[in-house]
Amino acid sequence: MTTADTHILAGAYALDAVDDLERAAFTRHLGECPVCAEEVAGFRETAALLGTAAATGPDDRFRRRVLAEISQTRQLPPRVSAGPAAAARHTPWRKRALIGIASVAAAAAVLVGGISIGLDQSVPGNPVPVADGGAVTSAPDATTARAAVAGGGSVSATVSRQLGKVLIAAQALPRLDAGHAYEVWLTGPGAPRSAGLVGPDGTVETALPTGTDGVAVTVEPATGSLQPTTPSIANLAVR
Amino acid sequence: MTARAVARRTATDTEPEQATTPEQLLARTALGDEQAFAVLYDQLAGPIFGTVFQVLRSRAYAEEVTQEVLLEIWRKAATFDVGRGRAQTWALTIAHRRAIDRVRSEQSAVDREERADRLDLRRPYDDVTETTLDHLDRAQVRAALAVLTELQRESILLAYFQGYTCREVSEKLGVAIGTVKTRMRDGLVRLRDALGVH
Repeated sequence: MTTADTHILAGAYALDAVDDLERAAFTRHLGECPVCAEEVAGFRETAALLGTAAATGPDDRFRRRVLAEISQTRQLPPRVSAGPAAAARHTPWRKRALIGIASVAAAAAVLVGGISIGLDQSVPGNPVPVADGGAVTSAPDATTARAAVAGGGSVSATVSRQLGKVLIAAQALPRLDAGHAYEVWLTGPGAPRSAGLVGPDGTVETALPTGTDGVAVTVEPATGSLQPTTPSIANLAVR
Repeated sequence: MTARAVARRTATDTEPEQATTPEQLLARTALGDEQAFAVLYDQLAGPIFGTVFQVLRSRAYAEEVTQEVLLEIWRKAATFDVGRGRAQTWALTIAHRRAIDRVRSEQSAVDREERADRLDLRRPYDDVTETTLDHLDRAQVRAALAVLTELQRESILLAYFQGYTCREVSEKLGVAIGTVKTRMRDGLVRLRDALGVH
């Protein structure tokens, strides 16, 4: 990933105009190309100025709601000790949060097989990559269901109702021929809704519609199907 | 006033100076300071909501995503690295990505045939530049956009404010996808320099 063609993607990447595959590849590229990393930082600042120019305020009711919610929301601990003042703030719940996050992060590493997805702010010295999409796996209400697949491998679904998201991770599923792919479905009161094809990194992250009570995986043509056309190979109930 | 609030008020009064930049406020937010977050909210909620609303075109969705973004800023304040850029850039990068994720997951949940027609359901692209520019109230940003070629400007605005991928921009404007990627990059270089970033 060091061709001129790769560098060209810096603009599209900073504008979030890349697809998931390109994003994953370019994120890896950024780790080894300081020139692109600096360019992306400048582009993001530029894009943020566009965003600032579009500023428009949500109302006071919204402000009260957000401020009420943050006082009920736990914060992540700092990455590194920020001196005695910060250390003194390591109250018991913070320690619990640290342990909780470490174990969730470890679980996430197992789920995605050590592949970091969309990891924009890499953490030097942190052994376990938590994907940006790790918002799901690190959510305080995250729950994970897992099911073994008859032909080998397993599928897991990590759900956060609070974030309204689900991260589906496939592990060591049987390899399919080029014409087929694994497709993930969200089941509920209506017809199954496609959550997309399982990507090369083995994961699919998607919004979780209200009423979703399960996740299913089927084998479909590589172009994907509108509705499942084969019996599911995995079924998970989600809360 | 609760004991906690009194303690907080007292602590604030004894501080030599009030933190006012987003970076300073974020540092205090990281220590659980809700008042600092409230001030930070007043600085960032407008840009965040504006950006998200441009992408999602729905006030309800925009509020939902903006709330998620603000909660993420609260939760992850301690992970912000001042050496890697400005707090506002960090916040808007999170906001834009979340808005894009929402647009794309909503899309993947609808029928694929509709999905193919989706581009045509959006505003005609001819409107995009003008409508977007109407919403940009910063003369400096408008002036900087004016130095771009039409293709650079349209590619960047379609991507950033409409949530189009390179492929979608390429289809919409009828130019090769490689050209779109190149124009996004050289357009951003020009815009960055015109805005005096770095």
